[in-house]
Amino acid sequence: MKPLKHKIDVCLAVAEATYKEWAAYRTHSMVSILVGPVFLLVQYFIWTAVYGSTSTLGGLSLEQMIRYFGASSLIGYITMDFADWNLQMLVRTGKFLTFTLRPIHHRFFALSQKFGHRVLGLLVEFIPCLVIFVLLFDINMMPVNIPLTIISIILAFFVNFYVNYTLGLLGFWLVDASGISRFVGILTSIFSGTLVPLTLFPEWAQYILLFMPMSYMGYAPAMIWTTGHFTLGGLTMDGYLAVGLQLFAAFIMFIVSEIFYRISIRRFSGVGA
Amino acid sequence: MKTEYRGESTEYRKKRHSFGRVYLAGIAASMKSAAAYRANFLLMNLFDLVWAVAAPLVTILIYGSGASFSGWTFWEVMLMQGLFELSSALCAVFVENVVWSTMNHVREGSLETVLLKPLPPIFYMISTSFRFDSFGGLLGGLALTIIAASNCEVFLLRLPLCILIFLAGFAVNSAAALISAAASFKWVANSRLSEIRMSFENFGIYPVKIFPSGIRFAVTFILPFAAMGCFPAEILLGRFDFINILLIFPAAIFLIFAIWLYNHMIKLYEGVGG
Repeated sequence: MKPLKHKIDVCLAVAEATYKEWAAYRTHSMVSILVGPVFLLVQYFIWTAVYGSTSTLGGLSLEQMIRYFGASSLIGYITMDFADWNLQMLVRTGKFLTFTLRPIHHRFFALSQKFGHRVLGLLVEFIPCLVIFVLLFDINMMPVNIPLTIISIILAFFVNFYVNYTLGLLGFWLVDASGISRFVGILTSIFSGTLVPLTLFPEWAQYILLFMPMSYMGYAPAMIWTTGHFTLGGLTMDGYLAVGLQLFAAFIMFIVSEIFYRISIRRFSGVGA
Repeated sequence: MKTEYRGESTEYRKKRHSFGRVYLAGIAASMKSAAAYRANFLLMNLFDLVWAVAAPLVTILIYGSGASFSGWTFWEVMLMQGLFELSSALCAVFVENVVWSTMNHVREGSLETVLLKPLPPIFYMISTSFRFDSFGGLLGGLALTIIAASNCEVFLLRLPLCILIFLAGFAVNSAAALISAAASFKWVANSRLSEIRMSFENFGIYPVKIFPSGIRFAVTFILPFAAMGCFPAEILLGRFDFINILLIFPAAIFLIFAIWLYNHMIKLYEGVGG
């Protein structure tokens, strides 16, 4: 129990420090209060125009589609991550050296940082935008199954982190990995359902996405929030099964990040890449 | 005394400091910088190319599932979105980097290196902000526009008017970028300022008629973002309402305001970093 308590104490200390650090730049996060509602407003008009010629798209009614985009934006504020950028910066500048001297795995440190950073996101992005969506836009943002939605968002938080951290490890291999990070980032935003629900993709693409971690980073929690179940590749799953798949995806990405970390760390020279 | 400064004739100084030469020097420096990190340069361009193709993804999936924007065929919407991507990429190549350069200078307290130069700071910032690694978006937007236009019935005689409105859209987007850069003098180190501009850009990528009249008026005559993609496409497709040509005035005013604001906000710079 003692090592676990020690880990929790370290995690809380790092999270608190990160929260205080970023709270100094809280207006940075508060940009979402303008950007989020404008994004949803545009989506509302696009989909209202499109649904004029049909009653359901990708298995979603107009009301569900608007709620999906609202949920997707809100979930993004909780799961948002820049562990890749941060790790690449540390390796490029040689600052990663300080972490090799600490009695803590850098991934755990980065995860703790993310906790602190996203608590701030919860307070200055998620809650204000939720209030705007519900009170100003009059959108029903009540999740179909609240506990399941919360668990799904937490798991999406972890999947997102492990994917980004693994991407950040490319910093050990490339002089400047920002290009590949951006490239993968855009693929992730497309295939995590941020731009459009994945059920609108061709069925063969949906089937591939069923086995990709991206589907469990944004699409799965947004669908569980909106409909209570998860549909992809022609399969409609119960929300509980979908959460199980998310847990599996988080575990796999954890293992992948650990293996890649052990291979990559050998390349670190400590003088900047 | 008036014709000499540190032993240089006025004529020589004019030649040396001519804006054109400075701008070309900025482009050359950008090219050399891109050549130093070739792999990253290729990836950045590939990223922009993929993004230019992915941006109309929503439309492709909407039309693929049998739905549509009333009165617009698939290729007509693609034409609109190709023109939008082209406008957006032009801004990324020529102007957008001013936001990041200004933000970095303000945060690091290094803007003196710009202010001490015998050039208007805004011109120097623009001339050194040329981005070779954003050419992918330009190519993607151009390819999408040409492919879409070849699949639509377009009125090529209206191309000059289309270019005029397209340039107005480019001016609006550039002005919005300059305003973001100007804001960074006060709102130090906020790397998300561009997101605000991009969120408003969304009003230019879809048929303006899907929006209610208030928003339609705003994106036509107040902040004419609709000139980035929708209106140039409407002109080529022969369905442009000619009253909307008046948008070139608010576009010009918006650009002039943005330049004035940047020059005004630069006075807030304190040189202590942020």
